[in-house]
Parts: sequence; structure tokens; C-alpha cells
Amino acid sequence: MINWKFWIGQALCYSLFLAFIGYFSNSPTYQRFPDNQAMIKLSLRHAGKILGECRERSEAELAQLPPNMRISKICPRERSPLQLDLLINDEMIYSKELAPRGIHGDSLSSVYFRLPVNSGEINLKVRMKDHIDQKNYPYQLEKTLQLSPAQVLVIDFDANEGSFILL
Amino acid sequence: MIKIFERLTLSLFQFLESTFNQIFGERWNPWYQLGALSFYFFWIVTVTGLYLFIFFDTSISGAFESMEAVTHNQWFAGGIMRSLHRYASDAMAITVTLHLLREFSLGRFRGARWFSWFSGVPLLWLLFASAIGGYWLVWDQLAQYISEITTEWFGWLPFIGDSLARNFVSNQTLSDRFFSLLVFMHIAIPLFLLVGMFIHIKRIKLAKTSPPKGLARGTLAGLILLSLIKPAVSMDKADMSVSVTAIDLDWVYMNVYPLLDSWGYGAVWALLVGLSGFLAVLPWLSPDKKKAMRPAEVNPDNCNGCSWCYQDCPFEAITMIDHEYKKGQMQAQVDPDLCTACGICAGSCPSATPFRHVDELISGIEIPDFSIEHLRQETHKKLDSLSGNQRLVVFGCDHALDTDAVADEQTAVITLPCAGLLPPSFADYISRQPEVDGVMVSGCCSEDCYFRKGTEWTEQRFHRERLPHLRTKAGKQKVKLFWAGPREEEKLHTALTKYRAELAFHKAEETEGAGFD
Ligand code: HEM
Ligand code: SF4
Ligand code: SF4
Repeated sequence: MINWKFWIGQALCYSLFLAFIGYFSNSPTYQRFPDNQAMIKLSLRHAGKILGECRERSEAELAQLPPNMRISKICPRERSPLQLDLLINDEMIYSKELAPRGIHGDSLSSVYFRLPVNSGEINLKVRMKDHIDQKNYPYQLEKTLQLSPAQVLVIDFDANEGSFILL
Repeated sequence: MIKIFERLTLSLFQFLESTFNQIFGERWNPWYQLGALSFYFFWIVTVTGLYLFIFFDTSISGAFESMEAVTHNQWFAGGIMRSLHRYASDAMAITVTLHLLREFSLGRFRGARWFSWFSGVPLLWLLFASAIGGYWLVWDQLAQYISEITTEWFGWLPFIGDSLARNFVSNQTLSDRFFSLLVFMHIAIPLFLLVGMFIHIKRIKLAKTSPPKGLARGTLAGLILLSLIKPAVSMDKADMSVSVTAIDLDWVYMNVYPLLDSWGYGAVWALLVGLSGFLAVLPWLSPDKKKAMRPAEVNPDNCNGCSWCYQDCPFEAITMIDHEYKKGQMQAQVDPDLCTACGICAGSCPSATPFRHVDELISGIEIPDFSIEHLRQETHKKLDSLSGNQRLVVFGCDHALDTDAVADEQTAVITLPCAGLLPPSFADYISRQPEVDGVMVSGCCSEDCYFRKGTEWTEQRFHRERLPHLRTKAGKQKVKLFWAGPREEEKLHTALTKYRAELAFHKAEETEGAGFD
């Protein structure tokens, strides 16, 4: 005789387990942001200018070096940090000095920064210095634009052109 | 604190297990098969994954469309394969988590058993990394969300940096090269997981890596049914210029992802690394307070090199080496670091027989805290206080049901560290004592011996399928085996009542028979 209690009990246990998996494998929906929210990503890499000038070594300095390393001109490798500011509707949202990477501070500076904003019209200002001695910001971009809901606006920098780009 | 949680989870598991024993029977009870089921799901995921890989386009521009084609153009094959791939992965995460909790509740992470516990912890990371990497390859909006937040999360680590996140910042920066790396990782990480799984069971003799057929079939049939009812599908195609505001998360694998948004990356790192670290050091954080039993010792004078103990040790703690002084003979050697002091080896040793004519009974191998001589003395002490005409000796086990509850003037109870410690010859010997009418050996239910093999080996030894055998006919008639889980004391009562009825019947038959002669 078939033991119904046995089989129905098992079917019930299997169903519970599978229903759990079936449901939680893609539900409930996770509402990460309000649907009308847009996003700005500030993401760029740029090498700051080299700090300091090349100079000649003095005779005394040269004499101290091993013969195969006696090169008279020395150039520093350390780069300047970048100063990067982002203003939205004239409010300073981001302002940071970005140190160069590498143990000698001789590599690129980079930033990746994500910011949720309300969709609609915004005024965007972004500016950057790549040498600490610069008085003004040699790189600037100002734009007023319409952000649609969920739009992702990326602010990048084209080092070859020397200008900010919006993607 | 740890001990309280341990006791709580243990009683929860014991409740579930005894309930499921009534529904599935001991053999198919899924709670006894969590490790084996995890292996089984891994194989389902592997086979279905290989099938999907045939049709998968590994470029970032073609990945999404290729998955759509598999899902919809061949729903009857690729579609089911995809659903099985997803659902078996989810099932694996669930069984692994329950397996961890169950091993914890049983305290199987302490002492010599630390290795399986410790080596289980990295498996969690590999498992989650495998699954999340898989979702990433589909390149739908879920994948887009994963790519954004995972790269930012790892980029938070100072030695990785934000260049990782830049790969996924806009449609223009996406690169096939990085995507190929992801495809490669989705193959490499599961391979590491597999290697890790084998290391995990390395110290375990004959680890249960496949579930019993009935359970395996039922589970597979269920997964296929689920795949038909609710096929796994993608969200819309990823588009980096539009952020995903609402996401159909797989909560089994991505349950911490919402925390990344609300707590921040550092906090989630702290949580996960902290939790893993805590699990990893748990064997030493919570050692056994009751002084743990000392490991087994070999007595070379009584070891003849038969290697039966070597074959029976469930934890690979015994090796056979050249005998200390008997030329050309072998002897057993115990690695104390691996020994759990279960005593199963003593139950297998031919020199543990109490029929030997020696003053002090010393087995070739035994655990010092529960020697065969100690067992003999204990049993004799208990026999002296037996009375009545249906006198039974019950050998119980520390980890199974509470046998002490059945002790009375007609029933002597002796509790062993594991039923496997009892040599068949010993049960035989006791059953022949004039003050004993019958012997019952009881322990953990067959699928779930605390020391893994105690029940199975005892069963085989007493049924003459494994050495040493239960030798005599008298022994066979007078010794009964009985297995049940904790909380199943009721079953033991019933079994004892039935046994007594049988004994009464035999006695009546004998006296009647005697009357005819
Ligand atoms: C991929 C994931 C895992 C798989 C496939 C797996 C599988 C297994 C298997 C097959 C066994 C042997 C069962 C037996 O024959 O008695 C086992 C034992 C064990 N596992 Fe796992 N396991 C996994 C993860 C974990 C994790 C995460 C932990 C805990 C941190 C863990 C802790 C243990 C312990 C303590 C034992 C018992 C060893 C003993 O009896 O001394 N496992 N596992
Ligand atoms: S007591 Fe014996 S059987 Fe048990 S682990 Fe130690 S050596 Fe192995
Ligand atoms: S079972 Fe006993 S006699 Fe045989 S090898 Fe082991 S210790 Fe020696």
C-alpha cells in the first residue's frame, strides 16, 4: 500500500524548499534609488606636472657617486597633486587634492566619485589644477543641462586635448 | 554565549531532524545529507554550466543576446539548463549555510575536528564569488548593478584603487578584455572551490559526497519542475548611461549588497572579514571546557598488525608501521592530532575480546579515558544490581538518545563515547553471563553517527559483514541493535518492550519444549 502521509509530507517539504529558492532568486525587488534620480560620476585620470626643475650636479656631488653613475643632470620625478573641484548649482560638491600614485609619487592621479542627484536642470562647473603653483584653474568646464531620470552623466578628462568631456 | 547559541541551534536541528525522520525516513532525511547535497548541487551546476558555455558569447557586446537566445529559442533545453544552473547554485548556498550551522550545533569544529571547519570557511567566499561572477556575465541590468557596486567595493581597498570601477563607468570605457577576465574567473573560481571541497574532506574517511538515490532524484525532479514553472530570465540589457534604480536581486547570494549602499564599503568589509575571521578561529575561541578525552593509544604487546583499526578509523588518524620489536610484523600508530577519541578502533581490535584469559584486559588500541578494562569493570558492577527475569543490558552512546532514561532494576545501562567502541565479542561475552537475558546496543541513527562511522561499522560487524564479527550463535540470538536520533527515546521504549515480549515468547517456547521431552 502506498503510504500517502509519507509522500505528501515529502512533496510538501520539497515544495517549500523550491518555493523559497524560486522566490528569493529574484525577489523582492530592491529599490536602490527613487526612479526620478539621476547620477553623476566623476571619473578621470591625469598626471600632474612634475615638481621642480632639472639641475646640474656639482663636482663634489659627482665625485661621491660610483663612476658608472656620474651623470651630471638630475631631474626630479615627483608629480604635483591635482586640485579638482565640482560645483553643482554653485554649490561645492567635491573639492579634493588628488595625490599622485606610485611610491615616488611619479604616477597618475585618479578619482572615481559617484553622486546621486535629482533629475531636471542643473548647472555644472568642474575645474582642475595640475600644478600646485597654478593660481587659476587651467582646465574648466561649465554647462547647464537637463538630466533625465536615471541618467548617468560621466565627467571624464581627455589628457590629450587637455579638456573635460561629458559622456 | 557561543555555547548557548550552540545548544539552541542543536535543539532546533534535533526537532527538525526527528520530524523529517517521520516524513523522509532516516535514509532520505535531508538534514543528514547537507554536505552531500552541497556536492550534488555543485555537480548539477557544473554540468549545466558546461552546456551554457557552448552557446555563450564571451564578448561584452554579444553576451546578453546569447543568453537571451539560449533562454527563449531553446527553452526546452538551454532554458531549463539555465534555470537549473541558477537554482542549483541557490540551493547549494542554502545547504552549505545549513551544513555550517549544523556542524556548529554538533560541536564538530573542536579539537581534532578543527580542520574540516577551518577549511570550510574559505569555501564560503569561493562559493559566493562563483555565483556573483556568474550573474555578472549575463550583462543585464543586474550585472550592471553588480559591476558598478562590486568594482567600487573592491576599489575601496587601498591596494586595488578606483581604476577598477573606471572599467565600468560608461558604455565607452567597457572593454572586452576585462569581460574576458570575468569569464575566465567564472571558470577558475569554481575550480578552486572544487579543489577546496576536496581539501575540506581530506581528513575524513569515506566522506559522504553523494546523497542517497531517493533524495537525489527527488531534488533534481523538484529543480526541473521549478525551472519549468519559473524559468530563470534576465533583466533588460545593461546600459551604463542609465542607472538601475530597481533591481531583481538574488537575495540568496547578494543579501549583503544593499548594505553596501546603506552602510558603505568599509563597514561591509569589516562585517564580512570579521565574520569569516570569527568562524575561522572558533575552534580555538571555544575549546571544549569539559576536558577533552585523550587520543587513542596503541599497546604494541597486544597489536598483531591486522590493520582492522586502520580500516575503521573514520578520521584517518591511524597508520600502519613496522612493529616496534616483532620482526616482519606491523603495528598501528595513532596521530594524536587527528584522533577524536571516538574509540571505534577499540571496537575493531581483535585483542579487545574479554574471552581472553588475562588478569587485566588490554586492547591493542584503545582510548585511555574509556579502556576496554574499564568497560568490563563498569559492566560487571551494573550486572550485580540486576534483578527480575527479563534482565537486559543496554549499551548506549553519549551522542545519541538518552539511554539512561530506561535504566531500572531489570535494565542496566552503560553509556559509551560511541557505540562503535563496543567490540562484538564483548557484547557476546556479556550476553552469556548467567545474570543477563539479553543485550541491546544502541546509538545514533544510521545516517548520522556523531563520529560518522560508528553505527555503520557496528551494524556490519554484528551482521558479520565486517571484521571483527559477532561470532557465536548464542550471541546472535541474544544481542539486538537499535539506532535512533536524539529526542527519539519513545522509539527505544517501544523497542525494549518488543524485545522483552520476544524474550518472554522464547522462554515460554523453551519451557514448553522442555515439557515435551
Ligand atoms: C562548498 C561547501 C561545502 C561542502 C561541499 C561541504 C561538504 C562536506 C562534506 C561532504 C562533509 C563530510 C560529511 C561526512 O561524510 O560526514 C563535510 C564535513 C564537514 N564540514 Fe563541510 N562542506 C562545505 C562547507 C563547509 C563550511 C562552510 C563549514 C564550516 C565553516 C563546514 C564544516 C564542516 C565540518 C565541521 C565537517 C565535519 C567534519 C567531521 O565530521 O569532523 N563545511 N563537509
Ligand atoms: S579513537 Fe581510534 S578510531 Fe577514533 S579517531 Fe582516534 S584513532 Fe581513529
Ligand atoms: S586492530 Fe588491534 S591488533 Fe589490529 S592493527 Fe589495530 S591495534 Fe593492532
